Formats: sequence, structure tokens, C-alpha cells
Amino acid sequence: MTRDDPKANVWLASYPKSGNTWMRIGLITLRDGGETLDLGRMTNNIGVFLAMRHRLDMALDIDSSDLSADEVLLLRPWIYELIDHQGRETTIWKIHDCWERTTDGAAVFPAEVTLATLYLVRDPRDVAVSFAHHFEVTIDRAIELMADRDYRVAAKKDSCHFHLPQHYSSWSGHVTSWLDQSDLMPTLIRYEDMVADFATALRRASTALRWDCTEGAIQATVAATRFGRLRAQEQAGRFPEGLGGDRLFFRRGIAGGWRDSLSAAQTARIERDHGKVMERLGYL
Amino acid sequence: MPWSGDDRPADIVIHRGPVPKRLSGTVRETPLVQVNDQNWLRFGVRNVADYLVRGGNEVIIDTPHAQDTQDVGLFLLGSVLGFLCHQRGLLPLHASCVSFQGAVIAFAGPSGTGKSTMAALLLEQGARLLSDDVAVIDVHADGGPVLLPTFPRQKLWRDTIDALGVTPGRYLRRTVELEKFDRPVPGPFDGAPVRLDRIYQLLPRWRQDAPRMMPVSGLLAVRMLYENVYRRTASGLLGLSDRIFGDCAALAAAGLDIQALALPDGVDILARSGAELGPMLVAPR
Repeated sequence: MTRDDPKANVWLASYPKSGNTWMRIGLITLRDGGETLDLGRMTNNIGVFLAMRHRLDMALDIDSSDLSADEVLLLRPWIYELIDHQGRETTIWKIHDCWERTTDGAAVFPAEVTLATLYLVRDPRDVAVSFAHHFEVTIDRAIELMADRDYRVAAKKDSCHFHLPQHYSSWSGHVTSWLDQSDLMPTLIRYEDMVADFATALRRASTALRWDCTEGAIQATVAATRFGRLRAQEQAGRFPEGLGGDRLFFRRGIAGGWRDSLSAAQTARIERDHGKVMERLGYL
Repeated sequence: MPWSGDDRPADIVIHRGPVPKRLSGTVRETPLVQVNDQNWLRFGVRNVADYLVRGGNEVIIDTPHAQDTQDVGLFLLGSVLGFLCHQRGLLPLHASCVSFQGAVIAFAGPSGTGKSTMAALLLEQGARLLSDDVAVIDVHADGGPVLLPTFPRQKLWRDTIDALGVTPGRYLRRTVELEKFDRPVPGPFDGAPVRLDRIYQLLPRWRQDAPRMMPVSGLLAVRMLYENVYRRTASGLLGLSDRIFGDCAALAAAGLDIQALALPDGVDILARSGAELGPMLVAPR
């Protein structure tokens, strides 16, 4: 039932709207040697979404929907060796939770089962604009949620989501939880550096994953995953994780777009809320 | 609920008693389940109860809570029912079942995909409830697979209750805060085995307003059923993986109508689609 090597898990972690899907697509393409990418086939490949409720239920023989969010959190550290990896040697998990410990003191993402951690981060001013678009809220509301250390999704007490409750924390809280509080020594990759030089970002990610990649594969991946190509596939209806309606998931794919989207007051609020962490990451 | 069977001895005896923290002779375990060399199964739900399930006919419950604490019954009628099925050679699927316009329909899928909501929707249109959440199937019954009905109650969340305007019943949990209710389903309940006609695998997150259906057959159907086996990890601990897979293959080959059903996202939209969904689900194919 258990795997020979428990260190079979890679955490691809980020606050939402920080390049997680883009990196997943890059890694899928890179693993296939940079062959032409078909977004229609990517969903269950690399970057499997960890917080699907059925994974925990199946692993532990319990209905998590009969448990409170606190009870579910207590169980999360114990699922990794039981989860169905479907034959994969390592599984790259897409994660938006902040890093934290349960009230028992166990890490929700335990070092003992970790092969590598990739932490992606993006300028919170750009995150705010993208967040508002993705979740259909005003920019002011997005800024408010990004400042809320208690921010959780799929955590309503009156209904059941097929995702598990996830604690995002605030944008700053998310960053510091993974970089400072965790014992995982994440490889930090900035969205802005992915935009400027995706090849270097891919090289760093693949090194962390201990993948042996040729330079040709890196270059082919960069070419296959250019923003225009991803957007064209989405517009052709080939992206299963699209947003529905006429909103595009692949919206702009640039760094610094906040300059023409945020008011001076909105910018000031974000810089006030997150200035310390922004400065540390070179955003101020 | 009155007993409607004959006067034979009970099939399953459930009583309170001590359950050891560590089952002696444990050969396989996961964080909540231990199985020993006699295929006894221990299941622990923290702050609720420990259950010892053995021989497919006995459950011992060790709990500090009063007998009528709903939390204790919740896991008894959930996971423990699943363990009993495995020990008894029955196939439990994660599915809710109704009898509707002459067809016996199972809605299968993980939690949060709308099994109970779909059943509740059809109950409003005159369907009879056969099981909620766990569908017990005797794959090898004479004449083909049959469903063994469980009990006339549903687990429903507040949002479904509000959207459908049904009466909630009592909270399912007393020891924690959860807006999920034990809804007794009124009307006669027939516990006699019935032939299963259709299985719908519910797919979540369909961002269109209209439901969509796709037939599933062959190996895909086997896999789909296998994915819906209730308490499947425990069946592996009990050494039953091969049998479970064989049962899924037999069920897939039994000539049932198996479909993947993508439902609109959101219980409100679903509640409004009730009238058109019903006929669609029983339409001849």
C-alpha cells in the first residue's frame, strides 16, 4: 500500500494567479521533450490539484464532508503515502494553501514526503488585477481578500465543495509561510522572471525536480508555451480549466500590467499591506 | 422504522463495548483503519467513536458519547456500513439511489458532486429513495446485480435544503459545527432487493446551464465503477482488491445503462433544472 520512497511529492505552491498553471504547462511540455503541447490533455498530468476532496476520502476511508474544516485539516498530513499516484514515480501537486501546521503540530505538507518544493510568487499589484478578473470580484475586494490572514476557500459551513477547505492566508502571509515558516527550502521563482526568461525559470525548476533536461528541450518548451500559443488554444476551446463565459484565463501574460489597471489609492493600499514582503522580493 | 422481514436471527449485531486502541494481530493499517489477521477491522473517528467491525455481522462501538449522539450513528451508517459490505461480499458504491418512473437509478460520484441533491430533486417529482450516499450492490445475485436498499434518510447540506425548500431534520453532527442535516424521507420504504437499471456518474463543475450526458462502456465503465467503490482502501486492507475489481467488471458487463452526467454548477441552477432533468434521466435509450 505504501510507496518504497515516501519522498515522491513535489509541491508546486503559490498564491492564486501567480503563474502556477503556466509553470505546470511548462513542466508537462518539458517532460515530453518540448513536443507540441495540447492543453486539452493536460489536466491529469502534471500539477495534479491536491485539494480534491475525493483523494482524502479514498485514502482514509472517511467522508471528509461529514467532518468540520478543523477535523479535515488534522487528517491532511496523513494522506500522502496512501494517495493514488496512478503509477507516477513522483507527483507534482498544484497547491494554493499557505504552509501551516495542524493543532497537533504536524505539517500539512510534511518534509518527510517531500522531494522538492517550487514556490512561485508574483507582484501583488498584478495579482490583485488578475485575482479580480478570475474570481469576478472588484479590484478593491480582491485587495481586501489579499490582506486577510484568515482567507479560506471551499470552507463554507452550509454547503459542500468538491475541493477541500483551503487556507490561503494573506498574500504576505502566504509568501512568508512557505519561505520562512516551512522546513522545505523552496526553490523561489518569480512570475516576472518567468515572463522575462522562461528558459532560466524552467532550468531552475527542472534542477529542483532532478530532471535531466537537454537545452534543446528547454528551448522547445519555451517556444511551445509562449503566451500567444496558450491563448490561441484557449480560444479554440482546448483548455479544460477555462473560466467559462467569454472571460479568458490567459488574459495578458505580462508583468507590470497593474500600472494601467490600478488607481493610485489601490496601489498605495497594496504597498501598505504588503510593503515589507514586496521589498524583500524586489517589487519595491 | 418497523422491521418488515421474517423472524430469523439478526444479520448484523451492533452493540457498545470496549474497542482496543491497538487491534492485536494487526497486519495492515492506515491512519484511521487497522485490519488484523482475522480480518477484523478497527476504525477510529477522533472525538466521536472507535468501531470494531468483524465477520460482516458484528459492530462494537466504543464511545464516550450518549447512545443517541448523531455523530456516532453518522459514521456507523457511513464508513462502517461500507466495511460490513466488504466483509459480506457485497459491493458498496459511493452513490445515492432512487426508484423513478419504473427505473432504479444510481447517482455515483465523490462528495460534493450532487448525489444527494439529485436524489432529493427526483423525490420532489415522486421518486422513492432507496439509498443515500452508499449503494449496496449484490453483483452476483441470481438473475443479475441487485441493489439492497438501505434506509429512508438523506444527508443534506443547508444550501440544498434551502434551494429545494425541504424540511431539514436534525443536525448530523453534534460535536462540531456543520450545517448538514439528517433528513428523514417520508412515505413508505421498501427494503426488498431491486434490479439496478441505470448508473449516472456525476461530473462536477460543468459551467454550462444545461446538463450533458455521455454513455460509458467497456473498460472505461469498469474504471468508473472502481473509482466509485466506497471504502475501497479498506477493501484493499482486507485483501479484497481482486474481488472488488472483478465485481466492478461484472457490474460493467451486466447490461446496465451507464452514463457520465455533467450537471450545471450550483445547487440553485440544479434546483431550477429539476423538471427537465427527470424525464431526461429515464428517457429510453
